[in-house]
Amino acid sequence: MNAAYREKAMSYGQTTPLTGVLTLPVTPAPSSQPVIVFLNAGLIHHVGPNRLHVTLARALAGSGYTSCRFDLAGIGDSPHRGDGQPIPEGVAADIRATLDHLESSLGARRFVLFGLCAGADNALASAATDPRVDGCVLLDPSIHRTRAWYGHYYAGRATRLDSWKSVLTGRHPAWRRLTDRALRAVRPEPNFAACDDLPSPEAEPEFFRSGPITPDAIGARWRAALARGARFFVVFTLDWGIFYSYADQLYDCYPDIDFGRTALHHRPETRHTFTTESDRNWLVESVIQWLRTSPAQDAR
Amino acid sequence: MSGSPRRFGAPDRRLYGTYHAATGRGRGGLAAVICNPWGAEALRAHRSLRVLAETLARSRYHVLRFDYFGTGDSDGGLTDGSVAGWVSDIASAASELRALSGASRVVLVGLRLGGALATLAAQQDPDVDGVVLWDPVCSGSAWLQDLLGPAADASRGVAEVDGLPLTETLRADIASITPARLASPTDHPGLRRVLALTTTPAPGQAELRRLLAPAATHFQWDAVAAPVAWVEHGFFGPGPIAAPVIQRIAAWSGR
Repeated sequence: MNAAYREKAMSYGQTTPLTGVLTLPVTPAPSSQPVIVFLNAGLIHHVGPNRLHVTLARALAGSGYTSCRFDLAGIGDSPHRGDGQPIPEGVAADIRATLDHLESSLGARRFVLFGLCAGADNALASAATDPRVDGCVLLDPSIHRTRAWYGHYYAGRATRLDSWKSVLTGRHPAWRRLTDRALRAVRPEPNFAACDDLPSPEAEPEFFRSGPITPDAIGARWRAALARGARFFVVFTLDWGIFYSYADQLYDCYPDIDFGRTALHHRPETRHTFTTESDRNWLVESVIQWLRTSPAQDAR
Repeated sequence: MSGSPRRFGAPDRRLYGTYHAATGRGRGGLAAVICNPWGAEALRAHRSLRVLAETLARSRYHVLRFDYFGTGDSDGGLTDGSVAGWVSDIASAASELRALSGASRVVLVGLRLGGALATLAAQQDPDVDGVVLWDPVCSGSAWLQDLLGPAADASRGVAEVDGLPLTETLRADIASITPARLASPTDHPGLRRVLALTTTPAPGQAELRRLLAPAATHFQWDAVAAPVAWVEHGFFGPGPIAAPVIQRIAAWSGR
């Protein structure tokens, strides 16, 4: 196969063995270039939804960038953590352990964290504290509504024909919520027999979010990361419309923050997991372009 | 317990897998290849299949779970999949597992489309010692209808399902999966030991059961009350862990 990448399976970590895949360009990347690190999107293992991380990693390698996708402890191929740390601290420790491993094995000094949904929140949290994080690609990070959100959101829905169609044809989410509630009342959830040595369906911890995040806490992370000179590529999609409904909402959320070099994209036609080929292509091309043209932080 | 990730296979068809060495008492001699479902079903069932691999390893089995070409971490693009290619990937994984473990007897364990692929692979490999079918896809055309809706027959070119493309060639491949094809020839050694567990009724199950049963020396086909491993649990992505099914497979494998 004439692939423009090489891949290696990785096992590393001290207190908890973590598992990941390293994707390298055929021609070794200079150590001054950032290594892109893909974080889990919720509980989905390291390949990402619809193999998004694999697609991006190989495209990045074709453009000369090294990347790593790995599983946090308890997700995908990594076992549950053995050190008893709570989830937020554990997630931060696993990201640090991954950067440590890439630093010692590749000589990498700078990193760009890539996260979708909960992965975006975890990326921003690390960017706020770890000086090695040069920047982040954040897809649908946590955000809160502004007063203007309501006007944009409801105006958008009122003018969309499919909204009215879904109400009339019974496909509107409100109808589904009512139906689900009625069904639950007459048909309770099955209670599966307990098993002695296996996790029950609900027993695995939910890592979709590493703890409740308040608007103030999110703002503090942005402030800290931007103050260090970290750069950001941020996308809000259609499915985040329930939180984010107009192009500059991020800036309105935190009017006191100078977002400086942030590349902010509002994509109201794109699904949360970039399900169409054209959206994936846009993401690949835009991220590569951003990595190439956005100035690296030198004055740290 | 953590498996050992590795890449294996022919240079032009490198595959990614995770090896779980047997840890239970009396280990060795038994081995199982886990055959994934396809698409979002594979993504959602990943948790259950990892727990299955760990449980089987504790039950004296050396286990290899892996990604087919063009899926997961294996080489290949999103449109490079074919039934014949994936069946050959199972053979490649079985060969890798024999080399890693020294075991000669290999059981193929397949979930959903993986069940159909495992059955087809068992027909071609005389060293396969049995198959475990977990909610196998018995009728490829019915499964495509489920994935694509009423337009399944009429759609041309590439159809996208949850962000993954199903090419016209792959759809034709999958549509050719029928109970008769899966059960032919019924006297193959790999199909003499069969465990089939279903959590959800699906088209073709009864016919496959009827065709496989007569020639098998060990045959069990049971409905199990368990969560559906390949259906999204809430909106968090992965499905629930189907613990009752995993326990049944581990108990069968210990015989």
